[in-house]
Amino acid sequence: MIKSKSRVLLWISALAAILLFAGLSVHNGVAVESNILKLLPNTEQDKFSEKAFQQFTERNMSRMVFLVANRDKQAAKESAGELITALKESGTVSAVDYHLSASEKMQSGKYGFDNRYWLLSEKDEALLKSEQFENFSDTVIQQIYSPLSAGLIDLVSRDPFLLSIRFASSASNNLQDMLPDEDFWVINKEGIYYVVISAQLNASAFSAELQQSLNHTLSRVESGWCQSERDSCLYRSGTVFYAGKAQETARDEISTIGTGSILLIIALVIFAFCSIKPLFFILLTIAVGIVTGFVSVLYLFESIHLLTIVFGASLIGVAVDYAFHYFAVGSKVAGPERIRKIFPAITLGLISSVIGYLSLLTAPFPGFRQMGVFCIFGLIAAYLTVVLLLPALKIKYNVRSSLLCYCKKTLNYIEQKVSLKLFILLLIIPVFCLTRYYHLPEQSDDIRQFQNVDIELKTQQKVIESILELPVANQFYLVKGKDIESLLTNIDKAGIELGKLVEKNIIEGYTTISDWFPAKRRQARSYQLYEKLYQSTGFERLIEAGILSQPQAEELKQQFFQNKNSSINIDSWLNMPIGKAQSHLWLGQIEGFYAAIIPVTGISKLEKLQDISSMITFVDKVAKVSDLLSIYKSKAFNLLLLAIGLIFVLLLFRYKGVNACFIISVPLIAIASAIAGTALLDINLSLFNTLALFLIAGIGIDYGLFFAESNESEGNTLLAVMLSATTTLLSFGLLSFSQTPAITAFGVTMLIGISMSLLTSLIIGALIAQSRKSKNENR
Amino acid sequence: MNRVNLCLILVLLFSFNSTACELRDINEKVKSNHLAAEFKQSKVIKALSRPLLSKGYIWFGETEQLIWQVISPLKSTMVIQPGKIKQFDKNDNPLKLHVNSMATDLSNVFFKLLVGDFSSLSDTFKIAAECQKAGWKLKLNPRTPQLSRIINQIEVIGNEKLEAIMIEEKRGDHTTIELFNSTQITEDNFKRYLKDSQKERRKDSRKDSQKKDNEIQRDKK
Repeated sequence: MIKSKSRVLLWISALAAILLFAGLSVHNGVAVESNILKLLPNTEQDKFSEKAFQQFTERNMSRMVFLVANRDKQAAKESAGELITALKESGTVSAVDYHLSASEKMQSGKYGFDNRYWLLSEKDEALLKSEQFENFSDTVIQQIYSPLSAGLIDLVSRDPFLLSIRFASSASNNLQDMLPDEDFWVINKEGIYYVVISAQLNASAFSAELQQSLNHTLSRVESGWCQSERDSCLYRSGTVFYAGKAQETARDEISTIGTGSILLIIALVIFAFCSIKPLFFILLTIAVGIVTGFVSVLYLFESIHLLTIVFGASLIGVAVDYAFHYFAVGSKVAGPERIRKIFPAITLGLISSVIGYLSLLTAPFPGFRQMGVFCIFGLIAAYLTVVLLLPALKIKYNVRSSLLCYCKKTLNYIEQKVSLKLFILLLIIPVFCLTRYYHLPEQSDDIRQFQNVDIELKTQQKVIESILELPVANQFYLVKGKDIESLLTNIDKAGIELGKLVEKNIIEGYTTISDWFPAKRRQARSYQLYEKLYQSTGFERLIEAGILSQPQAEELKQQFFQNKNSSINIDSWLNMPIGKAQSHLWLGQIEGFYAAIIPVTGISKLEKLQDISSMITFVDKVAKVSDLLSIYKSKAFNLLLLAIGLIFVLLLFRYKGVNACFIISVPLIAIASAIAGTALLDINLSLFNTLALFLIAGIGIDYGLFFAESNESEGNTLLAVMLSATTTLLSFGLLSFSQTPAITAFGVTMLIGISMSLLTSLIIGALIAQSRKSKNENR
Repeated sequence: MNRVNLCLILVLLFSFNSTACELRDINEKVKSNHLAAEFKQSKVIKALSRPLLSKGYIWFGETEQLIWQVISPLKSTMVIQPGKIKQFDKNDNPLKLHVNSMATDLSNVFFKLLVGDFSSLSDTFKIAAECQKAGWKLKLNPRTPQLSRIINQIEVIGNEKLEAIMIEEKRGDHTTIELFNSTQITEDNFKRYLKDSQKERRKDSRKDSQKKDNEIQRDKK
């Protein structure tokens, strides 16, 4: 009795410590992470690309693009104005860009004008190389004689060939139909006016708080438009919206699945034990398990990922087994005696599960490790609750006799019918599967299936993409150089190659910083080409047309030749509005190299995009992560086989060879059936399903052990296993309805695996009982 | 309300030697969906010692596109649509030059003036109409700050048809455009420019459909 008291004390003090820590962390604010990338290890071998990627995506992820659409231009602009005010007041954004202010226009105009001798578009370069100088003077004459040329003559008297305008027009070609209109960028497409607004978030796109207040702001703005009957339409795009939606669905699903499975457990337990008391302790066991898992992850990792919680919550299915088993022994047996009866089975069960999850810890995947830690500590806590606390308490309940009777009948029936032949027949599944598994056609490990894609958001994004050319965030060229000059030279080299890709329709376009800030050598080349223009008959033609006077021409020439040794300086570029707008492409110095990014738009043939040189590399994060997932999938699968092997060795210490084989066959057959089943249902076998296989292995071994350890054919064991299987099945059945493809796949895998575990464990239980009986008879 | 005000002002201003008349009447008289004329333009720019003289053709037809083609001193062609200008050089190659945002604003005004759609300009201009035996005269003064930054006043003279446009810029430059109706100018002269813009439109839609195809392929993957 004293012993059991000290046990309870031990349990209480451990729980108190855990609760204290949980309280503290909740008080300090629990960091729940939903950024899928945080679950992954660094994909880049070299620190350089990893840093470059981080720097680029962080900015990209906090960016939002909006289009405000209306058939009436004025209404579109008014609505856009409201949106901008609301965004600024919401406190969620650090900057809203919707126009170039007058001073910014002046600034970029001044930059183009000041540096006109060194900036040269490709088209003009070709013209100058083929000595088509009259194209330059003709254009000036045409513009000046146009009735719409207000004020242009002032510029011509300083920039006689309009070099600054020629360059700016070619560089802003990607803005196509985007026209500045009273401080807004307005695009007219098929009779609808779209105002373009982009904004930068002031915190992480994955912050739930920010997502909520942003959504609140936007829906308020939209309902305002509805009320004023202006009927403007808002299109949005940005990581924050996808993340928000994913978090929302995940939260909803966790609560539905969680509530669903808990309600089912409640109903089942009350039905099976004719009392509410066992229910209370079963729920306590689960709660202790989950809190402990949660706390240990927080303690070891500082933040917990949403997917870890989803996966961890499914731990209910395993943790509940121990308590079910305890109560299923029946109320006639006293607590301590009861625990003695089930102790070998549940202890072995725990050890084998822990071995399974330990293998998860060896993967260099932060996500795997979190899930492993959650499960190991959660299970240990649940186990300790059953072993330490429950025997000390006198819990009054009765196992429903009709249920027990039914279980007994089933067991007897199976025992009579089952033969070794049937078992061998079942063994065909794993053999068949293992041969198939390594020859499976290539399966997609696309990281994106972890995130559910909201159709509404996807449509909005498509509309934006059809109007604006948005660069792809996860695929881009990374260029580096020892110094700024060699970086710019490399960018120019990349530009030549990318130009070829555009011609071949492999990509639609690309943006480089070197257009506005070319390498010194290119600047000098441009100057030399312009020099020819200044020495050509262009001036005479302008004088003939009455646009310039002879002395003016002489002065302009002189001015040009005085600038022979000048060039553009980097600060003036970085301070210019276009420089600022492109500053995210300029990564500065990383690991001793200068680096810049060239984003590409409209990739049609991804496989054609490859590294151009060691200094110009193509970064494809999605592919890299997906490749990595694929590698870890097979790694995880091998780990799982290893764990099963280890568990088998462990079993040999307690059981005869045949029985150990019987027990280990339960998880093997269950896993194999799950793989075969998902393949039949055409469900992608991804890393996430492989994680489900770990759970199936743990549960399968538990069931096998419970049957192998049960000496009587009273049906108590079957009751415990049935209860556990039913609750697990029902709760994972709910996972199958998830909107996130990966979670659905997880649910289906579990569904098949658990059903097969139940079936196989019944069969092997019967076989072991048969052999035991025949042995007894022989004696 | 607007019209009452306008009439009141007109009565006060022109009660002596001219009869006030309604903008609407002039508009109805002049507005047509067809225009074919020769023009002579004289641009007096303060900074230049002599005026810039040019001539060419104007044409407007069913396609709702206005063609402004200079033939002297240097051939050049502009195709103006509301909110959009296209330019072609002397070899009829398209010329891409974003001169400034003002050009689009101005081109809208210019378009409406030439096709005789004066009433729709009353949002952006204060318009005074005056009728004489020889014809009518409109004086347009910009209402919006954007336009008044460059334009002082525009005068339009006509009778049965539009005859001349005078633009007085804030900086003191003057542009006078005289129009002479001609039956010799037909759509055939300008088909290539109209076709070009149609072709481009088709190219755009082809680009769109190609983009869509790519997206579909990407989705399939």
